[in-house]
Amino acid sequence: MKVALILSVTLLSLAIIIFTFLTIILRFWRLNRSKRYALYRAKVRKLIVELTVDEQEPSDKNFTRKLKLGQLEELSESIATKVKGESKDRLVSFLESKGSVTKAIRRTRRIGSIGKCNAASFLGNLSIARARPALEALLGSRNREVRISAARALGQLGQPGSIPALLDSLDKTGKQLPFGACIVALLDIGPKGEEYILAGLEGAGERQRAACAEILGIINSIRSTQALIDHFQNDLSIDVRIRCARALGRIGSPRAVSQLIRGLEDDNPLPLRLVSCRSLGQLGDPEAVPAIANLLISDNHQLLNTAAQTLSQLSSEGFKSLTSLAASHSPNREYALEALARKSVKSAVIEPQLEPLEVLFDYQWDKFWQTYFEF
Amino acid sequence: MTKILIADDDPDILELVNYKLVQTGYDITAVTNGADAISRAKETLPDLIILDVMMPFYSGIEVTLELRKIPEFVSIPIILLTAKSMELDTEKGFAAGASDYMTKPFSPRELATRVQAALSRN
Repeated sequence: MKVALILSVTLLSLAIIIFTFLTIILRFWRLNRSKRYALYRAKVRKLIVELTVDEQEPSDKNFTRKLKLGQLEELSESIATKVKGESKDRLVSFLESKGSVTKAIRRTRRIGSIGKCNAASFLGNLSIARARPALEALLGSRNREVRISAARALGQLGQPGSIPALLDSLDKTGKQLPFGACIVALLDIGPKGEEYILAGLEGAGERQRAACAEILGIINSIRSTQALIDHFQNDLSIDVRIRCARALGRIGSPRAVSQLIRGLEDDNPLPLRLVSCRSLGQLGDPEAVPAIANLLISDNHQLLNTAAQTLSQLSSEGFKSLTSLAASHSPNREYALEALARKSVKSAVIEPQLEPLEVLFDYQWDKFWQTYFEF
Repeated sequence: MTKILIADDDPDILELVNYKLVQTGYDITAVTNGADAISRAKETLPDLIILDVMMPFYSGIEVTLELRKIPEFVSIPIILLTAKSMELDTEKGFAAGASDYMTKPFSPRELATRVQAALSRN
């Protein structure tokens, strides 16, 4: 009995010692392996850098081991976003030869939104032109993040041909592409997509037309002025009309002045009147001064403020109407004073030799500075 | 050997620029932030400096301003690397005393050419 007990205790101790020993060895081996892998990863990264900078491709024997799934793509993608021209082309053709691009395109069709997002980002960062159909198909995904990634990637590809797909996805019920994501993609494509965007302004979807109006203004599309004026006047959507007004202000065509003046009229919704007023300020046409000056008798705070600020940007006529209101006893004179004060501060920075305005001599500057810096 | 100091917080950019310029035959010192850029520039007195605009501690523009105050650095060419979206900063960069600028993403070959041109002008 005693012998059996001693034997079992010895065996148990032995087992514990062996187990501990094996665990230590395993740990050490694992640590060593991850160290070796990290070193290899660094070596591959260096090879990718060399490939990007050099004219010669590394031979396959440099890639002695297989990298973990997606590591080659991850390393290359990070470097691809930093370079352009022939360096990027070299990196892309290397990845093509390794089958990474085909794999990424295939991954866009698999289940799993994270994989799809990664694949879209990879294809976009490397500007793989042939990935366009796959990315356009991802715009119809049920997952919002996938749709955003696909739009971003399409923007990075910069192909105007993908604009109709991007615009269509704005109005797909249940699978809408967020407005901002579409705008960013269209901006990445830039003025070379003008024709498609102009065509999109005549589309059926409200969000589509709104996006087109916004972009046409940002890319300063002079040829779209008439179409923007037409939509500003007649579009059924207020959002589209507002964006058209903003675009017309950005483009700066004098043809839009009379239409924008009509946009100030009382029967229009307030946001449209505000944007029309600001756009008239951007156009800088003195013809708009009387119509904007009329707004100074409004009882709406936002309208009064916008009108006063706009008049201060306009010609000497606008300035005159502001100074006369500031000198009057009207309850709205505060708005004129504030606009003049803002204008004076800006002018003082640009032209410090200018004489200060008389109407501002007894102005409450303490209060002004508070709101100025908050603003 | 011509000495070049590079400062960028992005390891990829640092490695790409470093590799290209070492290959061209320059002696490179690489740092990852603005503060190190100033101190290493004072230590090594490089013939040309490449600075990223957005860096920790001091921006590339601040480093340029700081270095231009020192007589030894008045005529040393400084090239700024800036993101495409920050192109407006180039005006500030030139005002601070930068000699040239490049937008990211960049072409390593173009950078090497600009470095060569800046050095030969100097």
